[in-house]
Amino acid sequence: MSDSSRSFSHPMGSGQIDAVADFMAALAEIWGKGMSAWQTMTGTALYPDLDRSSTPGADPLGAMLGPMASVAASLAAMLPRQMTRSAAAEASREAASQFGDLSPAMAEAGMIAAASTLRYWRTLAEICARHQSGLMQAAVDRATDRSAVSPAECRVLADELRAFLREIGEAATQEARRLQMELEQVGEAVARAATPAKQPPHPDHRRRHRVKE
Amino acid sequence: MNDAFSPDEASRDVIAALGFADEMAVLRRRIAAWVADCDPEMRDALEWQFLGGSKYFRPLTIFACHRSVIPGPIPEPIMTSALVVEFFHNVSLVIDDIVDRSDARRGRATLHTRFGELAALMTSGYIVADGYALLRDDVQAIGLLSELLKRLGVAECMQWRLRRQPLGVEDWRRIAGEDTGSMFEICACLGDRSSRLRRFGGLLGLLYHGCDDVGDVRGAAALGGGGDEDVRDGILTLPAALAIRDPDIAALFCKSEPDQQDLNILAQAFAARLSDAEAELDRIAEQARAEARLFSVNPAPLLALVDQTRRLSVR
Repeated sequence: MSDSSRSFSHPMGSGQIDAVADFMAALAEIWGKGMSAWQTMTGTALYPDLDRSSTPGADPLGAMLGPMASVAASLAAMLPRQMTRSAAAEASREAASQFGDLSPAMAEAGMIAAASTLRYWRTLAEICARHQSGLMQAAVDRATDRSAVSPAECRVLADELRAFLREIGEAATQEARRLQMELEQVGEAVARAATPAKQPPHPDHRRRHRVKE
Repeated sequence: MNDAFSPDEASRDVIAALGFADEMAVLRRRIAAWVADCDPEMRDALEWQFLGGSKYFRPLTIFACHRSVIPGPIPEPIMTSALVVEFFHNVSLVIDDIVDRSDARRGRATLHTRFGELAALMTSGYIVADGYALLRDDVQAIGLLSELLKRLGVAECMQWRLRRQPLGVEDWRRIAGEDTGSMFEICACLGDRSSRLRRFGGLLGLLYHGCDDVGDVRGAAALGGGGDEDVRDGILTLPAALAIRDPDIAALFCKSEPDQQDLNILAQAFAARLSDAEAELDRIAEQARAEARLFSVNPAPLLALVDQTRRLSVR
């Protein structure tokens, strides 16, 4: 087996665990920052007086990423001991060296994901800002004098609300597609880096059969 | 080459701007050869249909999407896809003209007016069947064009069911997205073969549909003029969706049998909302440009396509 294939023989090396833990922690942090930025920009507080760290479920992504980051950190603490116990110290060093070549890709993926998250929040804020005045005015009108809203006004309001919801959905799908494309490009670069340079075929591997005519 | 299959004047500018003059010449030769080789029973009708001139925007979209992801000459499977898309587009025009009871298109008699409804419908079937035959080695294109025909059928039924109803711009987007939007979506997929530009195609189709609506209200010659049928039938166009926010206009729009005075008032109300419609089209065009920049390798042909499409409403 070649060195490059050995480096991928363990499903998750210690360096990878560290990177994943860092990545998850960064994502959780960005989620929190994005949430507060969005609240600041839209002038709303979705969870006022809530201590998110002590209220599971109040922050869905944070709630999801927090445990994942903990699991990753636990594995990171556990795995080096397992690796030490194993007799493959040499292989481990080589694997770490191989992973070292790929760590810039992990860092790049992390940066891409972080940028994507921030971009998504910014787009949400822009959409909210664009629609907020119209929708808020309608809500105020409705709250102050319900009978004043005619069916025609209701139709217009419904149309604006649908546009708002469509744009929110489109922002999510566009950002997801962009993230997927950018991560694919990193993945392709990783694949290229992990593929050993082309060697001339070994004589033993030459095809011996004839093509059927 | 048979000059009868040449693009109309407005399209020549578009083709030149996009830099696909050679490819379009090849495509027109292929159409002319196909018509010449078809069953003699159908030849007059096919010549009549394909003689009428075309904007060739759909093949151009395929070429532009392909060029934006892969540089170099247009390969044969992409050229055949463009040919069949132009066929299927003509089928949709024939059916539209029968449904709308249109006597003329592009300044000449429609196929059913010239040859009768039976001949027009059978010619449509002939075109679809031979289009699929041409694609026999291209399973991906067969799948995409099957999706297109299904969606066009659904869109036509939806548009007819929803006529004369006080709906909004979001409903217009839904109808237009399934009608012209689906056509350009499929063109984008046929061109890039990865579906990465599918959303771009959908937005381009929406833009085209909206420009067509606005151009109809303006009586723009580039898009065939008219639009009277849409007003008469209570079809939800973009200017109509904006104008019927006014309850009085909505009441007229929903009348089952409007008289000529009603139609005149509606036409004026639609014209009064043209600036709002143009602003909506500008937003759609900007979305399409953003998609092009994000998801293509070379966005230049796509940006040119958006610009050329956007101009259709003001020609």
